[in-house]
Amino acid sequence: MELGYFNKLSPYRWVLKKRETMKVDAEIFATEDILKTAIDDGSVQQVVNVASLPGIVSRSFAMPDIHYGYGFSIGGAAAFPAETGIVLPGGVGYDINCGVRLLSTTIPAGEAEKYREGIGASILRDIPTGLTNATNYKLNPKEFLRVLKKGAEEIVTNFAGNREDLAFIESSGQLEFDEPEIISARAIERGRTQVGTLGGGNHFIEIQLVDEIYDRGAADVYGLVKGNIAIMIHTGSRGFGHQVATDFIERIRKKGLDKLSKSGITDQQLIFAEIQSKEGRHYLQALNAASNFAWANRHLLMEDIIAIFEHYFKSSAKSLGIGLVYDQAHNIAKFETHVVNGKEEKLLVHRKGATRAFPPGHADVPVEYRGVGQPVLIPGSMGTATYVLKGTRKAMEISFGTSAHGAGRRLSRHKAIKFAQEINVRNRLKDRNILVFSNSKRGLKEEIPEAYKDIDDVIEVTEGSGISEKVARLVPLVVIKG
Amino acid sequence: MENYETFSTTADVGIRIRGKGYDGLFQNAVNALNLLYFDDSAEDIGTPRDAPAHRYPFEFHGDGCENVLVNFLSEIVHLLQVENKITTGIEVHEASETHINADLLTIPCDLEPGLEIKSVTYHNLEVTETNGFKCAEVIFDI
Repeated sequence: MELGYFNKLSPYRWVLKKRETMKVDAEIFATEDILKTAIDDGSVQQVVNVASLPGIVSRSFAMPDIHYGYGFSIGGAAAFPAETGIVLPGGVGYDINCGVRLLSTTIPAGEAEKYREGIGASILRDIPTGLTNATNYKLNPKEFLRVLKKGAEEIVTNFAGNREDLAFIESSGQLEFDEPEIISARAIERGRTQVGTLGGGNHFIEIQLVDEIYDRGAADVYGLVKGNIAIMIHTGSRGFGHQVATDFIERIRKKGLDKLSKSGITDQQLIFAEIQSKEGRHYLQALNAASNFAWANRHLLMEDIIAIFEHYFKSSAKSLGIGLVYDQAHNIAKFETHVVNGKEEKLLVHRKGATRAFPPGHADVPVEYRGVGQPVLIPGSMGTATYVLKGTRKAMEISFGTSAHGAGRRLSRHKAIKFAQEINVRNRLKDRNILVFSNSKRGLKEEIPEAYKDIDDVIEVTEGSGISEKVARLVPLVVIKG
Repeated sequence: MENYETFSTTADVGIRIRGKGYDGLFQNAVNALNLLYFDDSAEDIGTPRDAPAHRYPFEFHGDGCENVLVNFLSEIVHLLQVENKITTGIEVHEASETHINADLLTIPCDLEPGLEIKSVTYHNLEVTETNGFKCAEVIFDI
């Protein structure tokens, strides 16, 4: 693969015309440098593989945070017809409904300063992080089943939180799931002890400062005020989602290997099933259950963090102005309606390391945000900025309403550790007034900012291509790493 | 190459293994996975401890060696991450391209794993034969 194979539609849009096994063109939102890196690391070939899948609609897309994953590239998006198309677990990933949740507050950063150290330490102490099964919420089987069926609603009904928050979660924090018999005992075993846990890897909780406002109108609607603090949570469906994905890849491959081979694809990680087949329907049901788990998980974590804030400030969440801005999945497949060749079509849109970015007026955008569009949350690497953007009509036209999800890794974990060998990551960030709390020295080194692309480059492409528009920039004050 | 080693892709990690026959391949898969989890501390794994090894029977019939290897590794990941048991070795009773019957020898885990594995992937996985060795590269989602 070479840069010369691509047509440059605009400074940030590159199209590879269909060739060889490809059924459709591939489009990558990138600068020339980002595209060259993606060619070199093999992720463009992964976008080509996805373009070779049967029934793929329009184009195989990759966002500017594209990097090499397993099967599907990270930052990839692909849509298939709901009635006749396919579903592929590799187009979602193992951490089903990994996503981010942003909370706004009316707490000025100056007022939070004296509690910063204490809050960070309390979050690390009270919220299970890393490889742990020690949840604070030991659910009995009935409660756990209700989490799988009702997602975040189960938390606000029987644990903590406000029902009003549900409107500010993608899909209201609940997808339809009514076939518990398809979930394996092992998935339930892994999941029951991990509701309300952060996990490890790149998962984090951050206390952030609203540092810059680019779109005052949208920021006001989202409740983001310059100088106030915000809170971000990044995690997913934990061991439950990982096991669900593992189980269904096994079930699908029994019939799927031949079909994959006929598509000219050798990577078994792209195994697929017809959406309307028994295997396809069951996977989608299980995907919904894992998505519900993830929304419940982030909701519980949010309530735990709010309790810590209330303790330190000796004030209620309401007095502190803590409100849920939005909760967004970035590893998911969902049915959506899009316009294809001038006609509305119901599609199954896969996003792996990519976010939904729906425009003003869209029925799936919370009523309160419908005038400005859906918040699009793009965190940077540890110690760098997070951007809040808003969805656009152009994204609906050119990317199935899809945008980037983060900075995107640049260095492998081994290279990151080698790079950080002589660096005290904690002190280095402290020098920049960022407090870091983690039980894993290795994890900190793996997540060193240099391991990721420059978030500003990703945002430049995201806005420059029109798939989202900047609203605000948030910078970290406290980072809690899993 | 060594009989086992670890490596990284941009986002994930992997093991590169080889062995004489399928039983050698599976034994080195265990060693490589422990290296991935525990880095240098992996050298201590399997040394005599107070706790006697527990025999955990494992049998799997698959559609090919890749399928058997992924399920074998998934079991070891499950034992460590869910049941807190390190697999220190295996006794293979029968191993073929499509089948393994073995005892996994486990001890309680008193080390802190350096990473959490979400899953064992099939990404570009192919078990090949080179110079009389079975060889494979397995990518893990982390």
